[in-house]
Amino acid sequence: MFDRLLHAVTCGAAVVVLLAGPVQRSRLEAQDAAPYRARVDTLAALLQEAREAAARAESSRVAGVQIDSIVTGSLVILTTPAERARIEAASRRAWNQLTVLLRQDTESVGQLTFYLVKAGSREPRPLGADTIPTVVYSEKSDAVDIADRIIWRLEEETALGLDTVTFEWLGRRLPLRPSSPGELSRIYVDLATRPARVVRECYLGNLGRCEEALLVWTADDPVIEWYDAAERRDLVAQLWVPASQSSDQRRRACLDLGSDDACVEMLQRHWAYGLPPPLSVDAQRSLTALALELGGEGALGRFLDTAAADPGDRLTASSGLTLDSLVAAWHSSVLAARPPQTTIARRLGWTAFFWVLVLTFIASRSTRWRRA
Amino acid sequence: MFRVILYTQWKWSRIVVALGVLVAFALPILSVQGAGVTDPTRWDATRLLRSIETWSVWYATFALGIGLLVATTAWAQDHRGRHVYALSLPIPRWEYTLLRFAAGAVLLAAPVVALWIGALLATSLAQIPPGLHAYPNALALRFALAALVAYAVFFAVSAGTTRTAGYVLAVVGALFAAEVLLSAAGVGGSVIEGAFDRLVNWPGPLEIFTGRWMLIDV
Repeated sequence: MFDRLLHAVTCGAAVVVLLAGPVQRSRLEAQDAAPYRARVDTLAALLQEAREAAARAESSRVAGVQIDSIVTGSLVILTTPAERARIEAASRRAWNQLTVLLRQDTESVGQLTFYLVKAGSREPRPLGADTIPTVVYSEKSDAVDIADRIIWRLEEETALGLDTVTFEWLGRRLPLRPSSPGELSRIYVDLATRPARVVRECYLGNLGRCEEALLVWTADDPVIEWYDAAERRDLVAQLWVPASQSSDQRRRACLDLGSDDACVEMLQRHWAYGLPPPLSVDAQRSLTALALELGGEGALGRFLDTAAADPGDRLTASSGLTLDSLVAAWHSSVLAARPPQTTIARRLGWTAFFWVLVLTFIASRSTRWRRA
Repeated sequence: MFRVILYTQWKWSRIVVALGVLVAFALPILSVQGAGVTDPTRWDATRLLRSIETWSVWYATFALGIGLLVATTAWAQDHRGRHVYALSLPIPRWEYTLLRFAAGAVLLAAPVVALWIGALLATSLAQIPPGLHAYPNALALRFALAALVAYAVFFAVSAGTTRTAGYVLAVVGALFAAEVLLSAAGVGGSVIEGAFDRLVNWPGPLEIFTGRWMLIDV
């Protein structure tokens, strides 16, 4: 009886499967396979991460290395328990600085997990830590220094996603925090003192020349457009080129006879031997930081995702401003960061004078009677 | 009376003042040695600024040092003679103190003038790259005010009794002790840092020592 019933159920199930098969197949064929593929890829990635984490934990257990993870916002720091207090303070500081420009855009920077290790540390590194960006700090590093190192590393990692032109233009590091007053102050000094005509004209407010000095777009002939004749002569005087009869002749014509044509020719021929950029790369980075700051929410994502291999396009996309407006804002911010005047403010003079009077009064109140 | 006190004070502190004049004159000239070449390249501006910045700390240190030395020598003989000389004079104590202070301030003028002349000479000899400017007058004025403030501080401490000096020392010691205790207790913040900030930021007496002591600047 039971056998007959089992047979009937099996046959029934086979009929259902045979009937349902074509229906199911037609439903699968009617759908797009891409979302399923994406889900499978996501699951595969998660599985890989889980395997790596398990491997790290296992290797740490085997090697006797204890690893603490410190999570601050989206920042994950792996370190040894002994260093936890110091690293935690640094992590908080780093995250506070990063959130100014990153805002909610943490996914754009990708890898936010770092392995922090003290220089000269002999503790075995847990397996899997090699795949995580490492930040090395010294025994003397305080929270401020470690936070700077974390941000520096993150800036390097993030810049790897850029095209080659922008990557080099930024000095291989994408700024992820606003320029500090000290940095802007140094750029001001650069702007005021760089011996390049293009920089002087930028300093005086010619924004087109600022764009040129910032290398946002390339000049047709930098030797002619960036420098005047005297500056070209100075450059040739400093230029080192392999000795040859023709280069020696040109150098003499430039330096001794004052021939600007010879200077131009010399610089154009030996460009690769040391024609310095008009401004330091810090200026470019400060412009980028300002673009990310002014661009608001999603500015970093727009900067990274723009397809154009051109810093100018990325800057306009991220800031939401025209290049002229952005450079004008940059110019104002740099001029506002002029170092404190060397001349003495009247208030400072009066304050010093006031204290001299106060101290003289105190001295005059001293007693004439002394104990033996 | 003032001439006599000035003369005696000069006798006591002439070596200090003479050395001060020498150092004050030499400092600005040494600080611009990087800009002394006849044909400087225009790329030297940043390098020169860095060099001037390095030297700038010595102006403040020197102002503090010369103020301290002139102030302590002003009272050294009085302390040694247990202030009997002051008691023998037919003038009140406050007047005597003011005369001593004024005499010291006059002596302090010598290094200030030497620094001013040195600064003027240094900036006239140096080849200053485009974009930079010389500030010999501002530097001399800053030095004069800083030296005077330092002199007034140490003069006030020296004019007091040993007990007063003890109180000042006790306050400094208490600050250090509080710092150590707070640090040991793991409490955030620094007492010494807080006190220092009060002294060097407006309206603190040592604000003049902060800022840019630059002979050549942007």
